[in-house]
Amino acid sequence: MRPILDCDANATYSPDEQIRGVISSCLNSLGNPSSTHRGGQRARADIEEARATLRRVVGAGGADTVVFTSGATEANNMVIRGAAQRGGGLITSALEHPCVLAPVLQYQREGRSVVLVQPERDGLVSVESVVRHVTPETALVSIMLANNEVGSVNPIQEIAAAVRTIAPKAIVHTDAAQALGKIPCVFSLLGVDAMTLSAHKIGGLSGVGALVLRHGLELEPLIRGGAQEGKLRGGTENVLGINVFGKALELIEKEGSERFARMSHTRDLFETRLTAELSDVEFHARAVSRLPNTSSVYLAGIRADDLIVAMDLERILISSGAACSSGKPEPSHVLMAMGFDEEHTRSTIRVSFRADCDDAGVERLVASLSKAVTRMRSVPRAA
Amino acid sequence: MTNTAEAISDSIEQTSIVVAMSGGVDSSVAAYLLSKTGAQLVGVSMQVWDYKKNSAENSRATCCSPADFCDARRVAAMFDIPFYVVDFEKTFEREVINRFVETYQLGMTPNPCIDCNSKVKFRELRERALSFGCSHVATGHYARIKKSEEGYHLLRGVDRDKDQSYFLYSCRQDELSKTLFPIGDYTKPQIREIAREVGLVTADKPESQDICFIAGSVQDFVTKIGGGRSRGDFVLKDGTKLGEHDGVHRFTVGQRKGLNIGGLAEPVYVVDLDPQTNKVIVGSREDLKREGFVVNEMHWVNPTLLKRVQAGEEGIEQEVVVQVRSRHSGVRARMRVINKDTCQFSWHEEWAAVSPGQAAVVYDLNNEELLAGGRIAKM
Repeated sequence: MRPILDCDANATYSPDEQIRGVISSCLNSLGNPSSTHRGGQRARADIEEARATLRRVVGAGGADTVVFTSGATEANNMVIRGAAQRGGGLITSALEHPCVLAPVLQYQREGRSVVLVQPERDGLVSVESVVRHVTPETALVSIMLANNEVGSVNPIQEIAAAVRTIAPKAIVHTDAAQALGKIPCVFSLLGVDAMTLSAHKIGGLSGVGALVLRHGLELEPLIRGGAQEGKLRGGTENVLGINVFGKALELIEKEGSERFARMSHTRDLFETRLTAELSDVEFHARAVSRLPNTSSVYLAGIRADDLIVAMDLERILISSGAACSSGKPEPSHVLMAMGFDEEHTRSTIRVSFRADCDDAGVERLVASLSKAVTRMRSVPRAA
Repeated sequence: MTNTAEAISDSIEQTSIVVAMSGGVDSSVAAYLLSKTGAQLVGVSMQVWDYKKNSAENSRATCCSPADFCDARRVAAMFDIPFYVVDFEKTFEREVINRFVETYQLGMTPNPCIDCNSKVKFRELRERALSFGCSHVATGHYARIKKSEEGYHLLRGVDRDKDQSYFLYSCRQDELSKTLFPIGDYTKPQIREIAREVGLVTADKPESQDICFIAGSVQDFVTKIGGGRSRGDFVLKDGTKLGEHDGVHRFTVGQRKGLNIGGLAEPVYVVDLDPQTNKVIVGSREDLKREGFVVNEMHWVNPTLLKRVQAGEEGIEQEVVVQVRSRHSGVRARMRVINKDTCQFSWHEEWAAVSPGQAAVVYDLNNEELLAGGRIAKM
């Protein structure tokens, strides 16, 4: 049986061989980090090691706060609620992940002033479109660094700088869950107050994330309990998950920009080859700054959901937009926000490469896609 | 597995099959039986209806609900069958739900399972199967397919109590040639036995009801989805008013129970419905008796009859058995083919009450092979 070809890294970047090797050694450190005795000491030390690695890899200073959370969803909820508690308007974009949109829209239902900035058709949130809505009373500006579906990379540095001039007290936050491991994510350079990260998007385990907070920024905990994580997040730490997160961070640090270049080569080869094989193909966000591993492809006349199944039967993993947690796929809110109609969104697939995908993998993907798309285009539609 | 082996003559290992898996015991066993053949299987649950949105609170739908899909998923995993939930809601709403409500409101009795089988299971599922690269579709229906030199024949399932061929009369020859009914050669008790032996989570699930998308009463559903209908009168043939009712869509021709008309010596049946005046006409069982009836929208299944009808042959007449409801064993009648779309049936000594809108399905005199079917016309 052919090996599985995973071209859905944006859903989960499953741990590679190196990380799998490390996981077993991490099993020696499963004590309660709050224990005084040596059982806990090791776990505590390992968590702090991971925290230091994270600071180093994402360019956070020693005085900046790093809170480990149960994932990007919790981190985003924490910063949104923390900001909202200060009063004032909330600004985010229509491109965001549901874990930003849902809490923000809940505040809107409760009567809070909320602005959802619409992206351009190329998937970018422009500086002007954000700044237009900022007032001195703005409490939060939260714009994702890179979009998970189309890969567009927003000008966060410029947005942060522009917001500061109008609303110095606003919290500027970026959800960098999808950007980490694919483009440089340097907290100090981005100039934001808060940044969300996720472990399973870079080869760690799901169930772990982090919120990086600028030195001096104080937020209320979202989860109250013990004094863990500098009293910012109650609950015994996910020791194994945090350890593996640290190891995955070390790995992307070691690979440096070579990792990004490899992804970029793979993705570009894919787009060139697919265009040569198939007609009526369109790539989203291609003309703008984009994640190097992500390709959002419109295939005219194709039901994306069926194509996902057809490819899975070939043991190739791709997706239609974001991973669907409901079991009932809704049209992509990202593509809709970019101005595409429902038919277009339902004919769009997302291919997101791992750094270890080689040219042979791309050829296999293109060959299978071409075969399936050609077949599907020839099937008369019943409806 | 004679049924399957026969349908796919040479190498089943090379055949890729979509298995419709509702999460019930029948389709679970169908998947299991196919998995033993070595065929390449793809399990599919059809998401046809949003139960959360459309059902009353606390009601539990009878099949194809998210909980049933979990069962289907577990069964598929047991046999290493890749499994997907596929969204058919739009087709289902258009082809099944809307037609169901409209037919009721016209004073006729619909049979949504037939529309679901023909428009959803055997049209759209087949289209999806082709998209996936699969040549065949298999379902857990109690029915059988036999191949002869003339073509494909649709037969009742071996278990006559569970036979579902009635719902399949609109299958075309090309569809039959690519369809498998792995459980058609088994009885229901045998299927349950197999399920228990194999340890399927679905082995002891209760039978699904007739209309899967309705958890409460049909009438409440029609009222909710189709909008309220006005009250009207129960009347005798001569116009005598006997009482009042909540809308003609709540009644079916031939219905005896639930009329709530008291004080009459004989049992009272619904003999006609008039949606224009909101009248439900009632009478004795004899009032239901007709010399015969007309059936429209005919589908021809038996390959020989199909060829004759398609060739425009005139004057085709045949003694047949005709089944006029899903729970009905069939009565002998004479079929006269008017044209390829319309047939006239006349009873002999025996007769059955017919409900306009319901399917009349024609079998051979052995009451085994399904020859054709259509919809009973308004009298």
